[in-house]
Amino acid sequence: MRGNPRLHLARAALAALLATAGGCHAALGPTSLEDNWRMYPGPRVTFFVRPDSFAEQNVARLSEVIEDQRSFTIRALGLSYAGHVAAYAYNSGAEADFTSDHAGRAYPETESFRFVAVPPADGSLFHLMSHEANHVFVINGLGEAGTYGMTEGLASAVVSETFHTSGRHFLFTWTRTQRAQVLPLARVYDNDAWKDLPSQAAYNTSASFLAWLLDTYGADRLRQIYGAPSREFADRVNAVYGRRLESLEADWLRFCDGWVG
Amino acid sequence: MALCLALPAAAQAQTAPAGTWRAWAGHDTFRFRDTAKSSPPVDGSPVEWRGAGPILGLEWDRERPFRLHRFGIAFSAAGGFVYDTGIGTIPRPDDESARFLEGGYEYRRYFARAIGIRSLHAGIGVRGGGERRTFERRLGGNQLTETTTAGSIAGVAALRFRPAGRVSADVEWGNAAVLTRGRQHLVAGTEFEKTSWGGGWFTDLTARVNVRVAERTSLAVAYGGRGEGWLFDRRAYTDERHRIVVGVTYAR
Repeated sequence: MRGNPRLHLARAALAALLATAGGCHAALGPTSLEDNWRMYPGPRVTFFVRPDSFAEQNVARLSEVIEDQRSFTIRALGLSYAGHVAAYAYNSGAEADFTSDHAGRAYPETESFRFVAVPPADGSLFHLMSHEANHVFVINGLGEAGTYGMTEGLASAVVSETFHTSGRHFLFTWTRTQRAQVLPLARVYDNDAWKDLPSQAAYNTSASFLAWLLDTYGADRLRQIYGAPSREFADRVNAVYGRRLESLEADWLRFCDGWVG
Repeated sequence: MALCLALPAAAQAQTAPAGTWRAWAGHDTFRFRDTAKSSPPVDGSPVEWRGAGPILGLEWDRERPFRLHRFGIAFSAAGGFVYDTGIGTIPRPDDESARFLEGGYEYRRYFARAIGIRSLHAGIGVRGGGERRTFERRLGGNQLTETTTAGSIAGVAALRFRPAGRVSADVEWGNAAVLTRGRQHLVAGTEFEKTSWGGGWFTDLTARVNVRVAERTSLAVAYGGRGEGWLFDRRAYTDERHRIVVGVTYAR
């Protein structure tokens, strides 16, 4: 290239500055909003599905399940949340940047969630969808939980079984039949330990315990321990239930041992 | 964001002014997405909370030919929020808002040697800032108030072009680390409150053109864009802010 070298240097410097402007944001920020959706409004949840996808073919069923789930969660926990939620269904985990086809994420502050919808349209899919939706309902009704264990456990503990048995039936049966995988509650509600736990076992352990706690003692007490941070969790349980966490844990395991579904 | 609107007209002469005041106003847009995963690739919400509103600012510069001290303060209030779903928008309650009060100081040095063409100089600087932001949300009939107080330290790279005529221009690019304290207050039948320390970053770009209209007075138009990431205990979000402003500079 010929010309004034100083002029080229100046142009190059200006181009580099402009080209890298926002570079950190591009790398550390999310991708742009997608527009390849078809919208299916519902009474309380609007679905966004890919054109001609499995989710679009089953959107009426998905809508029926999620509207029931919303009513169930609001009632079970005594929430006052009356918002309208956006549900985004993806065709695969890869498409959503998830590591599997059985995954989802929730975004409570923008009242939305997304999940992978792959065949079959059964309890497993409905549970996944309900779990993510419950994060939106619960966090906007109760605030942030004090522990990861409470956040993830409660979202599964209040999965409705109107259309499947992947809620309490699954959780109590799992606790009885997979006892070796059941984790100590003191670790499940310890944020420092949470990320080292096997995730599915941690989710199931917390969900099973909280479902039993909710059924046995009601929502009011559960709401009182919901926001307790790790270091206060055991003491808060003791104060609210009048019993030590270990004692409640033993009762819960005994209940599951006798569970016949 | 250190949004300077105008270069001091008197700075084109080699005699340094005692100081330069700048007042400016414009339009600021704010886009918010909560994130479920903050490390790259960032997992952002498929829905964006978006609003816009006025922004006002005041700055004072003390400038030598190749040194700059700048103090600034700005206030903006965004309203008219919607959810952008990717294929449309859904109006939000009228009383949702986002308010920002920010201020800062920057010290900058320009290299004496012009780069490429006469009157084009590169500079580097360091900027310290403070900000308080408040989001008012109405989520399903519940009232969520988020208040964040933050301090930041930024490195700034700049180019300034000041030919002999009436028109001059600046471009600034900054990257900052942020330390913050956030508070969430939710009224949902019962009340929930949580405070936590957090961290973050931002990248901003400002470009401005200045036109001298009198010996001591200039008019300017500027664009500012900023991307931010915020990480608290159990929650995180990213946002973007874009602003177009016009202002007046008076060099004493």
